[in-house]
Amino acid sequence: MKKTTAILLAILFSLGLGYQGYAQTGTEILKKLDQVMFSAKDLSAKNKIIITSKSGKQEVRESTVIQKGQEMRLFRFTSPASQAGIAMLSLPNDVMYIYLPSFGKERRISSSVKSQKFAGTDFSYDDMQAQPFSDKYNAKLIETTDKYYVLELTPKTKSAYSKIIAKIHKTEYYPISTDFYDQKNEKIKETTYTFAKVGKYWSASEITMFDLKKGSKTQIQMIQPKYDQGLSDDEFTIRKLIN
Amino acid sequence: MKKWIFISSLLLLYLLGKAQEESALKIYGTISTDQRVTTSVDSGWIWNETRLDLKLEKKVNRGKFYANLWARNFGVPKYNEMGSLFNNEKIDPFNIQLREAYFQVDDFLFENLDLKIGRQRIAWGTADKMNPTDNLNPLDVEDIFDMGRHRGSDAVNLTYYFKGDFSIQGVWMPFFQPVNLPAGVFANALMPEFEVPEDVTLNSLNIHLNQPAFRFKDQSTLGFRLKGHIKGIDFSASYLYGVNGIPELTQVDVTPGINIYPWYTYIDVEAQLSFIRHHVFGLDFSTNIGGMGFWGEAAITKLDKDLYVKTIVRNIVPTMDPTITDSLVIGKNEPYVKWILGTDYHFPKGGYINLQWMHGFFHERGQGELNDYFFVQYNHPFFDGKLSVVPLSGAFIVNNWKEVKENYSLVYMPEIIYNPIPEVAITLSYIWMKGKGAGMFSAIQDYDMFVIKAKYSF
Repeated sequence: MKKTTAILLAILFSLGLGYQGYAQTGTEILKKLDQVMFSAKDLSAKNKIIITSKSGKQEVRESTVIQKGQEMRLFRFTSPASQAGIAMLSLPNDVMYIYLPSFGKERRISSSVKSQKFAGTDFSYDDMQAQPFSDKYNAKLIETTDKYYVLELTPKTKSAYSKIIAKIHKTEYYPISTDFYDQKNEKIKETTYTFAKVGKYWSASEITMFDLKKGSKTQIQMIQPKYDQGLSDDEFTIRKLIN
Repeated sequence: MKKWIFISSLLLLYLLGKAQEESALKIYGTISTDQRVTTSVDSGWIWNETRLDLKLEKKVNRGKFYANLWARNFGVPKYNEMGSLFNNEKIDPFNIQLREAYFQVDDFLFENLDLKIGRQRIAWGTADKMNPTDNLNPLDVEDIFDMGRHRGSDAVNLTYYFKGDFSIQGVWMPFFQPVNLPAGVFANALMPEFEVPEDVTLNSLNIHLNQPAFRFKDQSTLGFRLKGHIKGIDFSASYLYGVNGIPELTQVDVTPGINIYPWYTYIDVEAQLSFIRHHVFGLDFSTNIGGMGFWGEAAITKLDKDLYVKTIVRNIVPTMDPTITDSLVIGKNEPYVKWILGTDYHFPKGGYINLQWMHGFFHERGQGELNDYFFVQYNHPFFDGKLSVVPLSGAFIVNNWKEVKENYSLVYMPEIIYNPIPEVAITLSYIWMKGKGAGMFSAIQDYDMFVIKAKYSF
């Protein structure tokens, strides 16, 4: 009996079921992407946000960000002075708070804000929210090349996008690019990613969002990312947001 | 007393020692100017303010220091006497206000207990700018178009955060601070008209304020708030026992007289206003349904004692006894409820709308005296937020639903905000007012105005 089992296993491995070469579904690939994107227990980093207009004029903003798990993120602007201190707390179940220092208290943000541009960048609040792709989108594998998979993502709930075409690295499963299409099926935005290995994690060192209609782009550079610092859930509370 | 000062000093040194660590002092703030010119009557320049809003902050590993100072050139110069030219305050009206100055110790005494001591703003409520439950700090209605502005109060503020989404807060404010009323031409907005019979002339009117005695029991304010989040709904319940910052008429002393030539009768009036102690029970919530934000607040106010107005009408013959009557204005067992409901929505193309319905403004008292206020604002950003256009912004106020045409106020305030660079905001707006009856904006409807503001953040 033991011998039979061993032979069966050997046949299975020889057929390729034990490694990546077997035909994966879009959903499986997307889940692997989420595992790469959210593999660390937590993250803290500084961000440099460079907004470049069509004419080439640049504005620079800086922020700090901490993230835990798949759905908790606290983002705080540190410059320019007019925005310094403005912070956004993103929690599970679409709960988002904004803290404006001039009001001295937090304010719940309605989820309709998600389709709007985030603080004058080419990213929307939805793009900035810490939420796994597989929670938000259904995936269909539409192409496989030597280097990447191409997935078509369609939103599970109401979204500003009709679909996203995502290219995903074939062996490391991080995103290479994503193209966003509006409800008229026109490509409106494009994102490119630069990933680098930091310790044992693949880290998005730069994300660039191109607004194809406006001709502008926004780069988010992640500086000094630190993973698995042991951030507690208490770091993602109103108490921390307002202090 | 010496013993208490000694213990307090030790406690202060202990707290400072705990808080004094790490990080550099951050200095930031804004420089702004706010200029308003009326277009309706011959008053010309009605608002002139240049403000340095300076903030100092030093974060330490378990807390922070924070101070906010306003240095302002505020008001128009007045130099109609020769002596004024020798007085800098008249030529360049200038003032400094310490808006906030406190230090904070996180995990004070035990974990999850935060302490803030000093002058501070403690904002309660979930509504947008107008919060019936936000009664700890004194209102600052100097600029009646800057709704919801409060001054800081000297306070001891303890907040304990439970694991999860709940917190409980206790606040003690040893000193009472009254409201500061609207400045300049807006002074009439909140002052009720003093009515006298048609055939009588008001010769003089003196209003005295009865300041609460400097004793803890007369000055102190206590507040508690439980805050939480259950199933997508943020809520809080609060209680406050303190003194209302807006004084109430408690005595009117009328002395009639006759002028022989020319012949007419007149009255001299001495009025007394007092600050009334009250209990305020508050509830608020905010949530998100179908992408829209919803919030609401209710504040139930119950006076500590019956509020009477004593009217003394003296006889024209001084030797005869005056007529004295006491009229009950609000009984201590006649609570009244102020509330607000609001909603907002972000449109996919970038517009934002905010609607609020409020019952009872901050200066209104008694269930039958509360008016309805409807506020709306729609703004739309252009050029990635560099330009914001607010075509719809204003309020509609009804004093009497049975005769709306004779008892309403309407305010319309379109606005354009331009940010040439991220640090600079230039605002151009127009304020148009119309009303009938005793509404707040009816009293100042002659002062439609252009407003230009510029602000630089550093």
